[in-house]
Amino acid sequence: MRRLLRQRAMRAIAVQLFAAAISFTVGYLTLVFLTGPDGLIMPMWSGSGLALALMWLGGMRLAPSIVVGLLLSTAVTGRLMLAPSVGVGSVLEGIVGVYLLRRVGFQVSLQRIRDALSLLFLVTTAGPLVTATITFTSAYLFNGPLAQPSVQTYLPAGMTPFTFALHAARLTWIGDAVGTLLIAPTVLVWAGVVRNGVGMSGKRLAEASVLGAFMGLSALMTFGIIDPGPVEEEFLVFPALFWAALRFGPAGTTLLTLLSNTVLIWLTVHFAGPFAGPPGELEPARMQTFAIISAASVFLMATTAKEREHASQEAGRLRAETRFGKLIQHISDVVLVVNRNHRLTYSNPAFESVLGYAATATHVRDGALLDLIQPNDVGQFEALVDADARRTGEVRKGVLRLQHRDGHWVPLEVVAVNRVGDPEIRGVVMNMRDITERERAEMELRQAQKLESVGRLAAGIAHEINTPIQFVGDNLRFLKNVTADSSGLDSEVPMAIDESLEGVQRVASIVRALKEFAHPPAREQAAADLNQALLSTLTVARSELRAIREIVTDLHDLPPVRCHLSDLNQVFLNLLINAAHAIIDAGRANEGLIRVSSQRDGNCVEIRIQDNGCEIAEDVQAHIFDPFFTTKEIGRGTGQGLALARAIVVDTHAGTLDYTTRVGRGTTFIVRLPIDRSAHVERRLAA
Amino acid sequence: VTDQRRRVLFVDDEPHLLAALRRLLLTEKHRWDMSFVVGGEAALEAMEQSHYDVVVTDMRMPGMDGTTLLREVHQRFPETYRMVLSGYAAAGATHTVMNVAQRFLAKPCDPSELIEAIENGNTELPAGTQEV
Repeated sequence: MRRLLRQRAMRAIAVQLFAAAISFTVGYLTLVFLTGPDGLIMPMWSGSGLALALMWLGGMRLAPSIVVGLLLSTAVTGRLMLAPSVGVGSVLEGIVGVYLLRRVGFQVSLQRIRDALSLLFLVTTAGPLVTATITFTSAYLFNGPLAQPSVQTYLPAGMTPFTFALHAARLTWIGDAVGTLLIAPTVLVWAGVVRNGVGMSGKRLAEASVLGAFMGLSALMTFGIIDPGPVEEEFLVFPALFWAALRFGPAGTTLLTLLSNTVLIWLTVHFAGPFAGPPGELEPARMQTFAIISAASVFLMATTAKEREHASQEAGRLRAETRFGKLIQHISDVVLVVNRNHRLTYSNPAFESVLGYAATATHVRDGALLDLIQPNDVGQFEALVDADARRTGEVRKGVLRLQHRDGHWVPLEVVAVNRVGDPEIRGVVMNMRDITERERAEMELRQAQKLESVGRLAAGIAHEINTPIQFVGDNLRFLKNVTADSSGLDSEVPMAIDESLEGVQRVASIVRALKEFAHPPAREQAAADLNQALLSTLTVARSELRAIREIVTDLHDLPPVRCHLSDLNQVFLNLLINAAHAIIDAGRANEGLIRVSSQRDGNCVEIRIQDNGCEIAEDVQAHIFDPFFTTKEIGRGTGQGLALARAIVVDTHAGTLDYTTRVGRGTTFIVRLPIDRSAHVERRLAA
Repeated sequence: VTDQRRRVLFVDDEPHLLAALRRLLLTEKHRWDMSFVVGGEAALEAMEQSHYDVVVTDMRMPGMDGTTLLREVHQRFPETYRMVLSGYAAAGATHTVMNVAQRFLAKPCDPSELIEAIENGNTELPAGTQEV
């Protein structure tokens, strides 16, 4: 702790020393090289700009060090009479400047026009006012009321102390404005460049070199080393400045402006260059005007170019953002962000299309996502959203069931990406895909596979049973023959044999029906007798229908219908079992009646399976063909029966599956299948 | 004394079935000379020993199955009438069977149908004259 404090103190001292040293150096260089021969007229005073920039960057606490550095520079160069304006005035101006810039929300990167304008206004108007006032006051006092005969005064002949003070104030004002305009932006911008670092590509570096060479050529002409002919040399600097402004931003422009104007001022002070007045009498006004106008306009141009560049980048970013935003808006997957309290912080419109209500619905927002998740899946949900910032980027997968607005569960495949550590997201991004269709297809496939294996098994069993039936039957017939020939045997024997033969016959017919029912599914549809199919199915379903008092068949002649017979057998079986369940559920087994009828109706065959069991409740009717929908208890139904039946009738046979239901009267399911399907329908089925 | 009765060979892997057939067909003993053998190998052995007008075989048997047996019979005893009595009626198998068998009967089979088939197969195509 103490070591840390000591380090901090050392650093603070180093910063103060640095501020004092740089203030001294800049003050000294200005006083020695850029001051008129009389030692008073300074076309450019750098101290104020430097003070402003240093205090903006390092804080007001640097003020004393800067004062010391600047005062030291006046002392060393023997211009102590400038001490009030140079030392105190500059720092005061800096303090006022920093205060005003803070008030207007100045940004040091100088990439906005308003920053450039506030700086320009401040350095040319408000800031110099402070120094000019001090200069005026001190010049007036030391040459007027407080004048000491022992001290040499600079009061020129024909001037009163008041007019002299005014003159001095005006010179200070302009010199200060020029210096601040050149120094402050340069230091501020380059401090940022040094702090952030600027990578320059090879191309930019080459361009900068060409600009430098161009600048050097202009300088040679200005110095008169190369004679450009009868031209105004000062204008030669503009192409280079514009170039810098448009291509190298505030950093390049400020540096170039500072360099070129410093050179011009140095030349002017030494009575050379384009602004040299008559030897001996320094008149820097033209030079200063040139410096202010050129620096300010080029500086504004650079800022404008930078701002436009930013605006176009921003526009591009916005366009991209809009585009990606739209992608998320229109994607069919649900995209959610769940924060660490398991609350939704974002959801896209797919949420509503998949679950039936908007995620902004109050019961989602307030009750959180958790309320929508099937209780069995809550543990998995918590595992998916259990994330902390240290594991940002981690991906988890799972399947969740969420409740749709109308009550049914929607299976969703979830990919959860941990973005807790991402400040823009701060949560788990969940991508959810509705897999109802896929689960349905998988279920149908499983069902079909099961059916196929049952069919194969049934065919094998049928074969095995047929042999014993054959020899039991043959033996019984033999016995019948023998007993018929002989006399004196008990009359019960032939009867017993006849009844046994009938039993064998019945077993044979069940086996035959089973074989027909489990007819191995063919890839191609084939013509089949649907009445025969209905009878086979009734035989197979006999055990399920045992409780029903009466089964009536009313089958009219039907033409052969092209179909997948085993699939249709499955449909008939499902409908028969549903009918039986409806009767049992209504408690009417004793008076239960299932009526199976068939008839031709135009180009269709119509098969009706009618029961007198319980009706289908109104709220249930909308869902009876939905996969997984079931009113039956677990183990009695998978919720696939009617969905499968409809898929088979409608999708693979171009038929219809309808029902009528009436309270107290039961339900009739009606299967209609086309006899001759048009080529168009065939193509659709094939697809 | 020359025996003019038709000689019929029954082949199955189930001895009970053969026994039951033998009892049932006792009524036909006056016109048919019947033999009952278990399995395809035994059937071929019997046919090497003596001539048969008709062979009635099951399809699925351990060892030599019905199809193989009938193919052999077709090659070596082309004059013998070949019948199948089988519980296995899958479409593909039936197709293969029909290449080598001249008549197919499904189990369980009505006795009158069986008797008629054996009798007609014999008379329509007298032994030794049929071509396949």
